[in-house]
Amino acid sequence: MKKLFFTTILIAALGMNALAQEMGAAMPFVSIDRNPATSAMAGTQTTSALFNTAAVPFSSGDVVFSFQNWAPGKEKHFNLMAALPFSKSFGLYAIGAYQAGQAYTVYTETGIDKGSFTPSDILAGLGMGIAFSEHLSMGVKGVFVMQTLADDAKYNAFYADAFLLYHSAKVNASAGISAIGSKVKSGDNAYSLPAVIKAGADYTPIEGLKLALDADYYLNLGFAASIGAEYAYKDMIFARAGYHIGTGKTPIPSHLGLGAGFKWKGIHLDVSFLTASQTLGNTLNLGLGYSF
Amino acid sequence: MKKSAFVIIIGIAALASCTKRETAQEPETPVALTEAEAEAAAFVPGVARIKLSADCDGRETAALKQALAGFPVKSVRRLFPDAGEFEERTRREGLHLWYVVEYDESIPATKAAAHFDGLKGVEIYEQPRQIKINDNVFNDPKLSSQWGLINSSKPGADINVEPVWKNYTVGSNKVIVGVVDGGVDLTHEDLVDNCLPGGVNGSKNFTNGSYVIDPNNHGTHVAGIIAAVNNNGKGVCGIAGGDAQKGIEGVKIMSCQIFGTGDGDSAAAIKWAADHGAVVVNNSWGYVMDVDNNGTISPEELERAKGITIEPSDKAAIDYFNKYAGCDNDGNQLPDSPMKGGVVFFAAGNDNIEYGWPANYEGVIAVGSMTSSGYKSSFSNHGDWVDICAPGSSITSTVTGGYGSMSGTSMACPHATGVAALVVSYCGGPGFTADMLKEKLIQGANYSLISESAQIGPMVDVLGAITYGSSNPPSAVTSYTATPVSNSVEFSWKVTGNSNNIPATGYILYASKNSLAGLDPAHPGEDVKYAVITLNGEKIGDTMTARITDLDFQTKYYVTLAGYDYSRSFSAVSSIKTVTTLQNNPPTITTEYNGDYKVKAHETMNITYLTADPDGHPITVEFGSGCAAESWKQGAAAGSYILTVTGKDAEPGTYNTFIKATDSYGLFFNLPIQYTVLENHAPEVVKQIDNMLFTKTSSRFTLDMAEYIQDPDGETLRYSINISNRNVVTLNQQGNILYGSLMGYGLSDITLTGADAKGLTTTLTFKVLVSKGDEPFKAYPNPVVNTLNITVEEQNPVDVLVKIISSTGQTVYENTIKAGAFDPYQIDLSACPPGRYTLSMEYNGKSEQKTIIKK
Repeated sequence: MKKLFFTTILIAALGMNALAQEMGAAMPFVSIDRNPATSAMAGTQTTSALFNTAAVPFSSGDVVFSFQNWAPGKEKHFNLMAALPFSKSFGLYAIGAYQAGQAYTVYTETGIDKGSFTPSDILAGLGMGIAFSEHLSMGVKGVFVMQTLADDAKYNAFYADAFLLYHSAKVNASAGISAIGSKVKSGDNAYSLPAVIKAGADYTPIEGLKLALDADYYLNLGFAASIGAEYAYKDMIFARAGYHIGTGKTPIPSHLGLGAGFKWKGIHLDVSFLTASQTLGNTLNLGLGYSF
Repeated sequence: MKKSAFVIIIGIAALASCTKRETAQEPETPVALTEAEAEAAAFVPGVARIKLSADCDGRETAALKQALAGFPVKSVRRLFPDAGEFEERTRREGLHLWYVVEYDESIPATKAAAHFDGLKGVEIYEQPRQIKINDNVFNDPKLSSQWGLINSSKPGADINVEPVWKNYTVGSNKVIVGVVDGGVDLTHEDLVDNCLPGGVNGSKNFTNGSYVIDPNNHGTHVAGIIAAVNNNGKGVCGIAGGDAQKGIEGVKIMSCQIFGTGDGDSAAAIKWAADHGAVVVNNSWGYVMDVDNNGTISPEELERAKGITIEPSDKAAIDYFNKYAGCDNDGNQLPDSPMKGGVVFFAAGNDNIEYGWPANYEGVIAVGSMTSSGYKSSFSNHGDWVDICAPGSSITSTVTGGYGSMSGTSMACPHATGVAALVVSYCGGPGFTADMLKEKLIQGANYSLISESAQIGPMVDVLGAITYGSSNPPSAVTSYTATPVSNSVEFSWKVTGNSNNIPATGYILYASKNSLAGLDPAHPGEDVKYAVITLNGEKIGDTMTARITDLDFQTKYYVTLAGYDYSRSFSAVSSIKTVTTLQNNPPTITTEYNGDYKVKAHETMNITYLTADPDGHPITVEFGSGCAAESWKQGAAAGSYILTVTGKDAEPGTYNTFIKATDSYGLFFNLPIQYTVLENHAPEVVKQIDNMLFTKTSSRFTLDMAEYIQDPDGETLRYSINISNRNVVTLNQQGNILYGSLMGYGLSDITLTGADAKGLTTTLTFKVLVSKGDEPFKAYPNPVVNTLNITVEEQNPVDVLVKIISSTGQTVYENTIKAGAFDPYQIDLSACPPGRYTLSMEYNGKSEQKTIIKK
């Protein structure tokens, strides 16, 4: 399995050259954190079982449906994520999302108004995690993405994630690569997805408090990082905050994350706000889930 | 009475089918006219005649449409209709350009004159004057509609009665004409003086044996044709109706009524006429062929018609009339009778078949019918048994209590009868027999008008009949001049007449290189050239001038002339003179044009040349052809030809052509012509048109294209327009002026093209933008593939801060650009991945975000 992992890294590195001439990445929305709990912590999701399949065997299991009002007025996301550990050494992962974009006015080459169109995206993926020991695991997932921009502009892509994860009672640390996959072709051109090398960790110094840190390197787009914290009162009420540092070229711009959660008998309701970003506005993410 | 069941008046069918065109009118009290009214009354109301300009030739329809635009026209027709084989010369003389325009009579002539006078395309306007028959022809108001007597629409296609009225006779009351028909209206205002009243020696009603005539339209119509009173200022003229103004009574009508409440015996009626003074009898009736009376002759009816013969009693009565009319019991001519024996006239019938009884009995004169155009009437029976034809279509005459028009051989028959009565009036007397009358009628008829194939016989001709066999020729011309004109000799003399002061019908001019001594004027020798000159209304003593042409040049000729009458009886030959013809002179070609013979490419040069022959010889004209731009056509004036050089049709250069006139003897004059077609220059844009920005679709604009595109040669250009988006703007072009109307929001490119006559062009483009006013920015196309255009609602470009941000917030483009409404800034997005982006634009405190799609 180690051999496979490093082969994937190599493929990602080769993709760097292809990104060199592009203005940003294709389908950048694959970088969005769709889990309201981790998005409240500014996207510190690298050790989360609802993102990283390597964390699934060490989790209790979780299913979340969320509604995300992204950059209010521009996109609406409907997300479904599930992390399902079947044993202490194996678990499965699934994700599905539908994104409705803002209707836009169609203009011809000469500027004639020809009506409007509403773009949309569909995203669906499966993954699995395997624990080699009580401390070490790895996980992979594959995701299919279909983007509809106009009647004559529909694009498909496939990408994969692969991560290694270290797990202990107070610390989780993981590294891997995400969104490494096919290119999006349009005419004679092909565009790369926002492939990223990610490393992240979380630490629980005292009962109820979790600190998290993510560091991302988007191939040819630059570095980004997120820090976040969560405080849980009696594992029932949660307060979360974090900050994401992005550059103008990385898919997700800098922003402040705030959020809260409520959990009762496994059922949990979480909300997050992404703010302090000119481009994101007050992005809302509201989720309802069940923890096993 | 038994036979009468098979007898029916021919005219009944015709009467049923014809339309009564005129009705009796109460006489109007004369009212004095003002001078203006009198002037107006001199013209025909509601009618104008115009002649189109010669340059309309070939485009008459368009020229007429232009000339008549805005004028309430009822009808338009050519004054000189298509002349068939003579159309070419009709056009050569410009007569095809004349039109008759009929309009509402309530419109004053002054208004019509104001419309047409000086109108472009109209060369001549005239209001036709009221016309009347001149000289001493009668004053009966409806004479002008009696084409059978005087045919003004086709001269010659009538019974030729006018010269007889003028020179021979108007009828005589010694001649009695029997009208075996329906009853004649004996009290009719136009008949009463020429009818015998009912009585033992006059008219009789054979339907009831009384002497009371029960008038009907048919019999009255027939009687009016024969003897309606002439020159009484009322109604119509009769052929032998006398002259009321001069107190001359016409022939007398004896009404022998056989139709009415019952049928009368036709045989008895004919015999009655013979026994009571009639020498000619008119029978406008025949046996029924159309038994089922459905208007057509079926094959069965036609077969039955072949087997019909004349009823013996009718034959007996006709034979009796022929033998004893005008005679005593022994068959000798009565002292007061104008003729020995009688002539019976029968209508040929109206079934358009080859049979017709009793008309085809050899003992009668069978009369067919012809139209005013000189053709057989469609209904007329025909065959070699038809002896003669006469006018029968649309005949105006008297009807009971008034006047009306009827058609049929029933109307043709009384024309022939009337002619016979007129001939008897003039020729009748002791020794004049019915056979002589028949010979005059048949032999003196006009054989040249009706085709023999029509099978309705020759056209009855009163003058021909009266003068047939004449031995009273005009007197010889005793004094004349003979003057040489080139190879012609021009004669001048005064018209002579015969002993009855009737003018000659014509003269023959003779010329020979040999002596003309002993010349037989009717049969000149082969060495004698001659010219036949027919009089055209001239009277005795009028001066005639005519030429004998085509003689040899510079040759001595003996010349003389002789007159002849209608029956070609010749006068003595005049004195013989000698004349030496002159030399031939070449034709002449002249022009009044004094220009420089240079034409620009857009110009057309027209030069009129006038050809003539000083000797009066016919000339033929030839033309050169210097280049494709050159054409020749005949001008409106006789002998004029127009050289047209159309500059656009030729390359620049100097060209040579000619016009050559050759007389009929080969002598010619050639006029060389040199002209220059100047170089053409393409149109030029002299001023640009600023782009136009509108924020209201109700806005309008006007442009004078001539201010922006002009031709260095001074030519008036043809402009065309191309509009890229007619949903934004439409343009209405009127000459050089463009009227723009905004139709909707958007941008349209407008391209104006100015073209000269040679097809050289230049173009000028400007833009028209109509924006809603609430959309300060615009980005298109959307979705975009490579290049995104950014415009702002400003006439001149301004600085605009532009950001393009991905759906996740990534900034993929940020720049300050310069853009205006007509100067879009183009952003190259070819390297941008497909996806949704937010376009953010900001200038002068205005900002807007739009979603754009990159494909």
